[in-house]
Amino acid sequence: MQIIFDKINYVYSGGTAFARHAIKDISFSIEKGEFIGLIGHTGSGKSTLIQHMNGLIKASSGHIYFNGEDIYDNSYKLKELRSKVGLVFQYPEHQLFETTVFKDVLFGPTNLGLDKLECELRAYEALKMVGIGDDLLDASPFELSGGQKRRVAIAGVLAMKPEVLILDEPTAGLDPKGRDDILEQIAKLHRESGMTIILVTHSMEDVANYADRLFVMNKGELVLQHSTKEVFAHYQELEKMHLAAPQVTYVMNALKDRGYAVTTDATTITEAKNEILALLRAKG
Amino acid sequence: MNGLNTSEEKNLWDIRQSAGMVFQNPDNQIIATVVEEDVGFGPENLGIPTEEIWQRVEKSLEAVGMLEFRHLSPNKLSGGQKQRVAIAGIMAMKPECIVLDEPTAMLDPNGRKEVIATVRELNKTENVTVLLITHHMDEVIFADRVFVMEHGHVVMEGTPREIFSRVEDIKRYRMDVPQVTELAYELSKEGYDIPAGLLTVEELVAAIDTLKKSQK
Repeated sequence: MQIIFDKINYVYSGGTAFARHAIKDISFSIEKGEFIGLIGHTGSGKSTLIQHMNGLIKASSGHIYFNGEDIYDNSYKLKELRSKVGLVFQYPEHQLFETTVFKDVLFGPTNLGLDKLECELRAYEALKMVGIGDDLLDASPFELSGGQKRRVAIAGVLAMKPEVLILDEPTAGLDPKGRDDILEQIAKLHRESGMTIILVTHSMEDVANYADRLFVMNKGELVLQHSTKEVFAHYQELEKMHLAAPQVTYVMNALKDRGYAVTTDATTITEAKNEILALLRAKG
Repeated sequence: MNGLNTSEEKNLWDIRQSAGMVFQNPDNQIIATVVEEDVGFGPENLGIPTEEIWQRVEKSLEAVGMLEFRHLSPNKLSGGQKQRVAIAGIMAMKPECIVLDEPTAMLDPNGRKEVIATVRELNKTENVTVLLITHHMDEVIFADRVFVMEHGHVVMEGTPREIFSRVEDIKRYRMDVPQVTELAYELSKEGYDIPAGLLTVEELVAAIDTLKKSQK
């Protein structure tokens, strides 16, 4: 098991009148190579939770193990953890600052203290992985489109060669094609390099298409952690937490309510299509 | 805009009074420390008498369903609530038109629902013209008309049903159709008689129901 959270609690402004219990008694484990979707309404604690994973926030109580080691041990090197667990924040393109795309991506590996050639190789490779072509290497990052900027920012994290990649709403504000491009690149990384992916999103359709397991947060608690299908089967519970299931799940449930013998666990268009085709082909 | 040319600078103040804008990031457009003062900022700048400002503030907050939060700090609100306060701030200037530039891009599904419901309500009851810019296709299915833009040109125009019945064209413009519309389109490609441009879960379920009954 790659990441283990053991009864993690986090209290903002602890010991003051403004204390707020943001993360409550959260335990889970994530295997190497999993694709996890993390969903929950605004303020449910998702961003606070992921910042624990690379040690940006230290838990008020509980233990976190990365590859079997307790990251709160005095001898544990948090700096190494931060290169192994890459965190892409919301709107990461706001953090671009260099004069060229290539230099911006170089910044991360250079800070790891690697030699120049290795840094350049990594930057080049990372930009390839996110689909940024050679013609853009010398462009100013500020001249790119929104989707391109975001991919450059993600490359900056990939150049650190993380084992785990955490993305906090990587598609917010992108057009549908830009959204699909980024998600496809992430899925490809996951398939080809076996990188563990944790995707934080408000889009149920996105996690339905890509995630193996879903973690659902509500008011600082981890209330569900099951396979994607099982979680969306609880769609009425999700609605109470201000979430929803993908639209096609509602279609299948509505058909069932009308008395048709269909299974209701479809979460993607293809699954729903196959189920409905079977229904239409059946006699009577 | 109401017969006024926007390229003439002398018209700008009048135009901005009648067409209010709401932007993407709820945190960038709230300036006051108390909700009701934020909403009052617009009419105050128009030189409206104090008495009337308060009436407008109350009415606008009521229209967006945020009256009970009037004395709170905007910092304590959710993203959807902040956007509703921003909309109330525009309403207090009694505009004829509201332009919303991706008002839901940074919100969770519930916040999105709140904002869209608020805008539809204002359109219906206050008769405000609404221009909604969005990447979320399911937010435009209630619109009277949809414009699709590409490289600075309007490339498609029509009712949501007309627009979304052209699935291939939409995709060519980097856009998408609502999930049900795509599902319906996929089924019709398999040779089933399902009308193009279905927009809601109910419409698709009804179409499948009709097909099934005609098989009997």
